Amino acid sequence: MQICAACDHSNTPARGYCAACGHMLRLVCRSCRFANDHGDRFCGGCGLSLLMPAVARTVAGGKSSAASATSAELDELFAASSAMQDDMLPASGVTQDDLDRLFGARVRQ
Amino acid sequence: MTQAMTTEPIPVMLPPTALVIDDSAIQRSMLKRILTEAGFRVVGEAPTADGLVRLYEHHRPDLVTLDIVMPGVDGAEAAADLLGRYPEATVVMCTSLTTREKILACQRAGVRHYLLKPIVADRAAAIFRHVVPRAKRSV
Repeated sequence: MQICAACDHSNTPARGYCAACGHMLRLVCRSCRFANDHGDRFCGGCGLSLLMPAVARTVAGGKSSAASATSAELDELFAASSAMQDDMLPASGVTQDDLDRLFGARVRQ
Repeated sequence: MTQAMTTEPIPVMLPPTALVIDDSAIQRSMLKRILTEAGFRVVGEAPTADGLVRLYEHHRPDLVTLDIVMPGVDGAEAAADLLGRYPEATVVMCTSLTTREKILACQRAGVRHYLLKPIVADRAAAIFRHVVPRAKRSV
């Protein structure tokens, strides 16, 4: 069983999101698609850092490093990472170029 | 001197496979054409995402294209459900929906790309090839 970090609901192992509150239970690696547990720092499939590089740099330049960050700090990092992704989309008038940037594909036609 | 016989299996390149989910028959037809011309083999299609997990488990496609606004299950929710069960699945949304929250939800669920309608064939083909870069190799 997987216990949701947000609401403590017990979820079946196959679930990616909590059945009770919708909180993400697993973190999918953007490189290799491995399903990591929420809070993992590095991908179990390929070893890639699960923190966005810009965020990791910000923390390393401050009082703590990503490698020694506490769970609370990591949660803040993930929240900051999400906020950065949010900023990549305009409030309205989303174009395919915006989406290409957000989804990380520099697609050549 | 005779050449030694080899017992090594000969690699065979199989085209990557795709599943197309869209409630519009015209859109499905167009996507199938684009996918086929991009080198994919379309192994299944459906007008709703209601049976997406079952279809995925049956065909194990290399790529799933998913509309969002469809009768029955919302495509974004279906994508999140599929990726929760099969994180290795490659899903591309093909929709005219530009709602910020919906796009970000798809991105966080692990959707690989988000293609806006009206579909531009060359761009769609480039994105499909980008998210499924190699043809499957088997023996």
